[in-house]
Amino acid sequence: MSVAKQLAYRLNLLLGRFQSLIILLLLYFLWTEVSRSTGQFAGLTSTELVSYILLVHLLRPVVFGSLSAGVADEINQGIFSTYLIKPMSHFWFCYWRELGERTVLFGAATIEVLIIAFLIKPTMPLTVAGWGLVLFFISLLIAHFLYVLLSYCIHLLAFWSREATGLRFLYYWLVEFSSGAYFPLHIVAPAALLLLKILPFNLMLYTPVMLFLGKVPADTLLSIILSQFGWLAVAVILTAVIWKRGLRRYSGEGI
Amino acid sequence: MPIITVNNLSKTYEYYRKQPGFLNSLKSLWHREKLFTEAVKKISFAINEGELVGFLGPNGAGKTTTLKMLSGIIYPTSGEATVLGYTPWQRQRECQKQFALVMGQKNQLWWDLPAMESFILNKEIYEVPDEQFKASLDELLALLEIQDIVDIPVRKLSLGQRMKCELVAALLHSPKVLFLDEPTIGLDVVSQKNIREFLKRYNRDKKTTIILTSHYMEDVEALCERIIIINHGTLVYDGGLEKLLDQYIDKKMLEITFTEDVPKQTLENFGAIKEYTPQRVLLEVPKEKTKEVASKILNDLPVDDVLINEVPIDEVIRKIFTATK
Repeated sequence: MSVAKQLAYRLNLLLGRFQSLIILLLLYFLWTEVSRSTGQFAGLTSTELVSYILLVHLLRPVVFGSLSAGVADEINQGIFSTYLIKPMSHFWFCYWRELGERTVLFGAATIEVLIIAFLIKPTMPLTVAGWGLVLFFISLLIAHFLYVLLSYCIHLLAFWSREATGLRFLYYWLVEFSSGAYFPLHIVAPAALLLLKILPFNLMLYTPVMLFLGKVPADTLLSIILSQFGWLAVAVILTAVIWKRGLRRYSGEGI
Repeated sequence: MPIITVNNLSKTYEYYRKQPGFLNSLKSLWHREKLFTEAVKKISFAINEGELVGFLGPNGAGKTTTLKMLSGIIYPTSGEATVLGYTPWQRQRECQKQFALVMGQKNQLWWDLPAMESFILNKEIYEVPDEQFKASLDELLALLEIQDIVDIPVRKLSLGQRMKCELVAALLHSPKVLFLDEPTIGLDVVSQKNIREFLKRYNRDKKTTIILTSHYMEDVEALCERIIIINHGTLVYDGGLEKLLDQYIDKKMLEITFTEDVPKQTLENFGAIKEYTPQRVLLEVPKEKTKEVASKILNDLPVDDVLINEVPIDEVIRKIFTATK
């Protein structure tokens, strides 16, 4: 149904995709320019850099989502009540609802990446195979759920404050910046990198993409995957606690 | 055996006072004045299977809060309640599959899509078997006469059409209990009547237990044999509508038309004048004196016609609301 909803507003969808295509092209020209003289930058060859941004573009709709058209707004407006009385899990309802949107966006992103690949013919190295590919998919799956759960938690804060828009904006900005959506994280200063690695957001895009590019040292593979699992567990517990306590506070305003 | 029981149910809302202005917004960051409102105070009642109960009270009386607790949207502060044997705020699937809540002021259908899509989604959520879904859908669409609008995006429908679709969406899983929160609000007279007739018929045929809140007394008069009145969070009346009218109506209205002009002063001796024109008067007289006054007027004045009416039910309810302030 959310696929149908997306398609009901085709112009909106097209404009949204146009915007992300512009960002993709911008990043593409930026990174090819930066790596033009030496043929590499920050340990990545120019082809790897191109692969990085194309992969990020492709995986963005897999990991990032709009979280269900604003769960927080639904809580504030009381629409949430109408879901609460139904025999279903609210989390999974939001999840499936968003998955429809993601599918449409992923389809669009795939077409865009194919078009770009056709136009600029980058030599895309498929550096990862076998177990590496399995690890990449596991990592991607965890990244996907980590994003969904944390984003859900942020939206559930609406149980406590109606005015959490600023906080959500800050959160999404932080995620965009520190997940590696705009640049490979390791280009920043070591101290900043350490900070970025403490936060869970690097596990959302940077980690899976680097795994795919085969740029993760073999001896750190296990710890990376384990830390992804660790953060996922934290997110699951956090969601459960916030949900339970939040519902006690919920007053079903708006109806 | 009651299908809904409510025992000493109370709900206190907690909120903060915030003065307007930027400076006060900053102040409220570290100091906020906490306030409490007792929306529902220790109410108790029981409802049997198949009953259609009117839940009345002025705005802010606690009707919707009670419905929210009974449908599991909010937790009570204290007290107990059961719906079909379950505690509603535990939100067990088995319980949720057997009731529905329709809110006149809140759209539950997907706004951008045709109502049919929402019906199908509800079929999946409530796990309604294909055949039952088809049969219920056909029946409901026919009863409400909306077969030809279910393929139009909901946002394009009129309020009346949307309300009918809301009812279909809520009834597809054949709930045993139906909570209706102002289902006819904002509707025109014809749509109100249609919805009312539908509910009456549905309750009679399916034996669905219905709790209805409404500000339209026509709804209550047409549908409910029993009413529960709540004011300032406290239950003030629970019983038959007829009994309520007997208990609270101590007056009748006499509507008299004359063949020639009658001065106002002459009429003042017979009762309280509610409306007056030289050839027509509306008099309010004590119930027990109605006959006596009517015959006196017939004898003494040039009467063309006399009508004896009940005091409008709105007025009775208003009287109870103000009496229990």
